[in-house]
Amino acid sequence: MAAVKKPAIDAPPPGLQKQSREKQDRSATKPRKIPFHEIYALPAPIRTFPLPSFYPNNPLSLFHVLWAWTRQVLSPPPAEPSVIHQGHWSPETRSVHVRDAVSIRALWEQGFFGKGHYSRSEPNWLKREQNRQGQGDKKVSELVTAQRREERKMMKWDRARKEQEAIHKTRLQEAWRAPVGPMELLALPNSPQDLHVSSPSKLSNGHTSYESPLDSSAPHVSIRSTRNQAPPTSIPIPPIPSLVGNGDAASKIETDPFPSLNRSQSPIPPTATTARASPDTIPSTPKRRKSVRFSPKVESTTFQLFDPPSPHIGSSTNGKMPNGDMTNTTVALPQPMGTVPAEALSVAIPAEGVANSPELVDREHLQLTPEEAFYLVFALGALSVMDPATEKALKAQELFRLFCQLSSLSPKTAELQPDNPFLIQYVVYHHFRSLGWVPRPGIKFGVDWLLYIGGPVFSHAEFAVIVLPAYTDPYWKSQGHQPARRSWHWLHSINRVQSHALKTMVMVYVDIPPPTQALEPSTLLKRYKVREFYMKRWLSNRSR
Amino acid sequence: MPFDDEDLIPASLNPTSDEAPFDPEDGDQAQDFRLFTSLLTGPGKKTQASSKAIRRGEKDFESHGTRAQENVLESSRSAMHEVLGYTRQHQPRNVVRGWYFPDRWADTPMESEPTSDATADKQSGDRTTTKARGSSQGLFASERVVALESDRSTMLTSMGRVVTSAEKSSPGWLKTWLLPEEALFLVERGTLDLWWPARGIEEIFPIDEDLEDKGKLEDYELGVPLSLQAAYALFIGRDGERGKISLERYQVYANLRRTGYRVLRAASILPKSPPSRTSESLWQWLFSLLKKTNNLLALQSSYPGYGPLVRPGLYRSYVPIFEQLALVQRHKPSPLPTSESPDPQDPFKIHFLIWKSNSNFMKTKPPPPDFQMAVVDARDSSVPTLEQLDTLLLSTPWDPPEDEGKIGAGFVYKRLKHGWRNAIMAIVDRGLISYMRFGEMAFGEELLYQNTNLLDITGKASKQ
Repeated sequence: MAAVKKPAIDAPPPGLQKQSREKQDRSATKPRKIPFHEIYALPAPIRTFPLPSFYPNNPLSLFHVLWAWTRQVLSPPPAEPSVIHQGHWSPETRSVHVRDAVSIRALWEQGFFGKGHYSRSEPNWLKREQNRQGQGDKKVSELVTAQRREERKMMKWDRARKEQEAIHKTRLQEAWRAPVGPMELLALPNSPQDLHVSSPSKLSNGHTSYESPLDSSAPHVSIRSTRNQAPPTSIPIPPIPSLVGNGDAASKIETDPFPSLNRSQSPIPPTATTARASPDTIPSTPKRRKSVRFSPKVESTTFQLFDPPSPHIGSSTNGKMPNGDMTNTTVALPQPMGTVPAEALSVAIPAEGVANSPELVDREHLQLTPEEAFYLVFALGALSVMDPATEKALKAQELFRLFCQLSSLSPKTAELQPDNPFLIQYVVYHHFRSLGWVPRPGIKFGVDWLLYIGGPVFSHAEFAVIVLPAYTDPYWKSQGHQPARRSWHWLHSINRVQSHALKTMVMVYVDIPPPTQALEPSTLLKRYKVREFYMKRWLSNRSR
Repeated sequence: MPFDDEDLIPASLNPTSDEAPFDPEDGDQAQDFRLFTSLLTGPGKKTQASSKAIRRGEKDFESHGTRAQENVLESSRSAMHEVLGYTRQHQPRNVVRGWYFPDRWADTPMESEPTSDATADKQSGDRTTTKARGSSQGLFASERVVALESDRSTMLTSMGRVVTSAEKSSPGWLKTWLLPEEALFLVERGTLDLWWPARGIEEIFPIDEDLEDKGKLEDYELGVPLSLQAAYALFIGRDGERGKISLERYQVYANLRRTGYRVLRAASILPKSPPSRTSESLWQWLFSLLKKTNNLLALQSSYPGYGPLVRPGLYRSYVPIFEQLALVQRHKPSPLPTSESPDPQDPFKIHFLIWKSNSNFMKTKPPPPDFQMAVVDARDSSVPTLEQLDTLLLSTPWDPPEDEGKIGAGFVYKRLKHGWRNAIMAIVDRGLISYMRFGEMAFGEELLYQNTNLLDITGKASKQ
């Protein structure tokens, strides 16, 4: 929540000015931004030592190769994986926690393992917290997303406002009607002096005679008369005070003998008057059936039920609004002004509190799913997991048994079933990891895994994987064992989410082998077979 | 920086979407009737609704009291009214009369010859063999239940067949015979006048000598015309009933026909040929032997039971690291199904072959189909098991991805998404059809870790 509020608070206009300022700051403090593919160069927490390449047309490069080789032979670098990170098994959360800051960064940057438990994905709680307390301006993905959402919301409101303006314009155009009836013509004032006299008598004439801002062929007289009627509030009150209260638009009409000229000079006031009049005077303004769109307070983050459907066009800042920076103008609105100080106050208090505490401690840890932790232990050997009860490192077989038992529905049975849920998921995780993909949990998309090429910082996940067990072995046939029946509706609902998120849905079948006596994961894994099938909608009227 | 729960990105921003930007809310949008009116009225007549008023992508959620909006709505409404009020005229010359003879070909054996060589036929130069083969494939003589009096209708380019296996000058031997779904579709469309015969086939289709005999009989002495309801009652049945078709399959058939495809029943499955061993050269054999021993050595030496799989040591590149990680069996697609794979079982088998409308088409000798489709019921069946899906896809032709060996994330995605075989399933939920395309993938064919500079490429691609 704090992250969402933030951009609105410390810089009320997060527009172009702020961005350019940010850019300047960044260029001043950080001379060079490290590109992603250098930060995240290693696909696994294992380093490699490639020899320099030898170019036959450059004999000197041979010496380079030799030198590098002899150096590696004489003083060999430590056997990889040289760093074994420490993890702590947390039985309550059923995940493995990594608390050391260096290990957290290493596991994240070298293969994108785990997730910060205060963060969405990358462990960056400290950065956000520092940002929040004004200790630096760091770019954090959560903030980027929040800012992007904010911008998108602004864009939508702006679009909605323009739409509404266009509707309003057509409505005004349609509402204007030339006075042609004899009684109407007679009722028209003959001179500016008549205006004051005639206006109270036209109460019944109603809303239909608005002036059209576009229609220049309208006679002066009619414009003057209609304009004077337009503000409904002015009608019951004596003319002169009402005009004063109504602002400069009406008073200009008073002084100006040529309203059409006046209109061409300042196009804003006529719309201002009419717009303000519109919600009350046009009875055909519809009831809101769907409150999907508009709030007059453009910068407020929630829509209130009592917000009128149209934006506050009548405000004096209206003229500037279409050209861009929304917040600049909306700050000037009287209504939101009341809310801003309250927010500013609420932020100011923690900010003061921080000033007292000198430094921030990173309280975030990295949490690894059982599959990730077991992959790091069993496949790469780059992690050791501590048991909190015994304060000793869990061996790989203990970890394996633990994870299998936890996932199994009946943990009492000591026997390891070949269709153990953890085992099935791990087979898929291992399968894609061993091909070079970065699988990450896909619960937010309703699937089991998301597959990234390179990692989530580089590109969006292209594939969304759901895991289905398959019992094709003759042993299962003889046992009459069938996989759980999944309905087509279940599959369609997942697929709909994926197509909306532009991901390709992949059904991964894990062919379960018959039970065996072997317990080593490496021999077990070799018995599984993984099949992938894509699934997507076929559009009959687009494939012709 | 994209992350797990990132907001939706428009397709145009996605660097890897090389297809036209597609609309996830596809296909099912309401018809724009103004398009229809411009079709129906032609250039001469002026209608209130003009095609230039068509707006797409904007939706008004509420009436905002302007006349402009009302006009748009009214023009759309009147266009719809015009379209719906359009009088369809059936030209007498287009109407064909058909007679229901369910048992005429009942004892004809199902053709045993497989259709698999539809693909091969096209290229083979031998005209006579293709003709002979083409005429009997996909005939379904025993399923054909309606005989047409004439075969002049334009609809018949992709429907109906003459039963060629019949004896010469047996009744109905030169007539075009329709399958139940074809007959029902034509009846529903208004092109076919279906009649119930009161007399035998010999009298309705007299063999040419007694032409004058037929002249004597009035129409209603021969039989009675049938209603659409009667046609439904006659042609809709359960799967496997001779001369009938299940409602789901008919709905899919009719939907595809109305959408403009050409649809034929799929005759049978591909032949099971024994896996032909490609002749290897001595070099390749030696090389493979070397590889095998290498693998064996690697297998024996490595893989400690409880890991770590990656042996500690000095590595020059990531390839040996990832090779040590390869444990789970990967799928290797092969062009020829192995002989022991079972036949696909209903409903997960190809029921219809589908061609796009613009392709050249001969119903006796169809080109290789553009799509293969299975029809399943959404309530009676469930998501297919591995065997069901596998056998279904094995009965479809081999269709490997292109751009083999091109490096780059975009190509990897493209190859994977193309797959190696594919089939469409029409999932019918009480009349509503959802088409889903399933394809055989092989992630094991894309060793991402060998692509050393993939990261650079993705980095560049994401910035585009």
